[in-house]
Amino acid sequence: MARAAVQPLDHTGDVGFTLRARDLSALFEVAGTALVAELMASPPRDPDPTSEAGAEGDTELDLRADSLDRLLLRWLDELVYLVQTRGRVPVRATPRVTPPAQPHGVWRLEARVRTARFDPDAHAWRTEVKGVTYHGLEVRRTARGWRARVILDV
Amino acid sequence: MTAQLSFEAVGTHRYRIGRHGRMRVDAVFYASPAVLAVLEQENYQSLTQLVNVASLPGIVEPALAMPDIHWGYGFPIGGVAAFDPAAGGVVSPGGVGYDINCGVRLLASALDEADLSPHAERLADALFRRVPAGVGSRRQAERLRPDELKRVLAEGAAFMVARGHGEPADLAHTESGGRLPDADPDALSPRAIERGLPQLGSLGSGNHFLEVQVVDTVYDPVAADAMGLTTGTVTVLIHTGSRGLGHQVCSDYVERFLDAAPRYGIELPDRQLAAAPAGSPDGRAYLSAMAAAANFAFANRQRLTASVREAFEDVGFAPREHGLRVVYDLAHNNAKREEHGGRHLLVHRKGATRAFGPGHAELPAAYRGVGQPVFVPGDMGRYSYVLVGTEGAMTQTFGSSCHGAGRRLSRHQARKEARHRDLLAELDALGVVVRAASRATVAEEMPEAYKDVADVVDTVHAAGIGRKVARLRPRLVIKG
Repeated sequence: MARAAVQPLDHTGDVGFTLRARDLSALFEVAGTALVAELMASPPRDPDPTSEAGAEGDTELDLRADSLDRLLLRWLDELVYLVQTRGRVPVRATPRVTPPAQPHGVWRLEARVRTARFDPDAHAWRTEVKGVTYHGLEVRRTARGWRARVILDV
Repeated sequence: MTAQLSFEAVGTHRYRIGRHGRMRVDAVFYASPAVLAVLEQENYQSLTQLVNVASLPGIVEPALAMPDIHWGYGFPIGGVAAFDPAAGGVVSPGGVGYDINCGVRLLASALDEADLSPHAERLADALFRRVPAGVGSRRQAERLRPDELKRVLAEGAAFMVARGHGEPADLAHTESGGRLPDADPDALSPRAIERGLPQLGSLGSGNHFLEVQVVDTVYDPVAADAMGLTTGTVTVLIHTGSRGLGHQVCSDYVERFLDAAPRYGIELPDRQLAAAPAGSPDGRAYLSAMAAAANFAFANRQRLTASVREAFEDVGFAPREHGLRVVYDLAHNNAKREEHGGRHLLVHRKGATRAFGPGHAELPAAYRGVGQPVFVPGDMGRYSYVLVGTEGAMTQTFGSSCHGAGRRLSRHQARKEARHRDLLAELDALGVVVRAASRATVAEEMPEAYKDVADVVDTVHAAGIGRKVARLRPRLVIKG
């Protein structure tokens, strides 16, 4: 996994975290990992971490948004949908974030997400996420890389 | 209070934040000394959210927060905001929340605690078997066809009753008869439909629960009698909402309204407050989708009611013996068209309960003399309360009251505190039998994670925006 850090936010009503990573792709990747860790106590691991080939549980995502933080929200929304509705848990994601080609253009995220079937006994649900909120949502560049803040309604 | 945010006492437990900055109206909140201390500890962030709400177009004075106010996302939890559509008033999906029409339904039985006790463990097992609970919980065997789901979205709880999951009398004791008008299933995205199809009749996770309780104190015998509650009566409280379907409706429309707001010249102090004029095409589309999701929530609680009756019958109580009937079903996350002071308003309640006073035409005949029943869940170790709406609520809070205790600990803090404790054994020692789909949920929802709901209820009672009727002590708890 890319070098990155997750810090829980002690929001009394809901759940949140701050994230730090050296580049945008790593930031989005760690956001996905933090989300899955919030959803379940023992997330599954990638059974074949060295394989680059496509597998049955792979999902291709191509998301666009007019801002970077909105792109992060849409990415997390997609992962919530995959887990809670499709019963597929992301075990590996390699998001590629592309900035707009021109001012006021769109940010783009392309990702192949490898998933495993959710097993309630093995993976142990922890939280149901109702929504990824815009409240306090932030993605910004820092001297050392990138930082983000996300609050989930649970 | 901070230099930027000042407030003054204007009544019993009632405080006013004068209009300033971008506020269009004053804000009023209710708080006990204990709640004031918590507000200060959190650096008045929830009051700042209330001030933001007061800046939205078409808001009618005042923007309000109930004494279970706490920091939410966009709107504070416990917030009440009325908007006048005729004066450009807006609707805000974030002001309703992700769990559209989340609410509580109280059932009263013909049993008393002595009848319940010998069957407590078996009844807990039967309820846990009958009620799908937990994250993503679903009722796979009864998965609806898309055309059936559309009927649920249009007809609400009545669809479930027509299918044999309840009685017509259940509908008469449900807010709005268990169906909001103007629902349009076509206003929902395919993803909202997909999320809703398997989940009708499921409890969910987090703070949702099903409790079997006993009335342990009656404060207002007349109102309690109208509800059929006496000391020792066994009751069942169901707390859940519109599940993934409602969550998706909120997500979809927050996104849509973020793009729409600038077109209507609406400045947003917080993007989660994304709003559009209630009478605009965007506003009408959301209200139609919200009504459909609300109807799903009413139908969800109706289906769970049938499961509760079945569970009581599983352990040997014939229908005539348990006599389970709906006292009332109410919502605490929605936006409703109501008349107040001769004006037709759209009242948002986010973590707040409608609490109409005596005589209101929308109340069922049984409660017209005493006021609308209001249920205020506490925590699974202590108690919950039954109140009634008052004339004071009609004049002060657009007919609104509190909805719960409010959290004291974050979920992370609660998990940390619970790490070396056997919470199930502790609750068992208190006489509370728990069945839960997830140990993490029990930790996050442990009694100490919540403020004492008695403080919230006493504040409401003293301020005159609700009146205490009875207290309910938990005996069996089903959690997700």
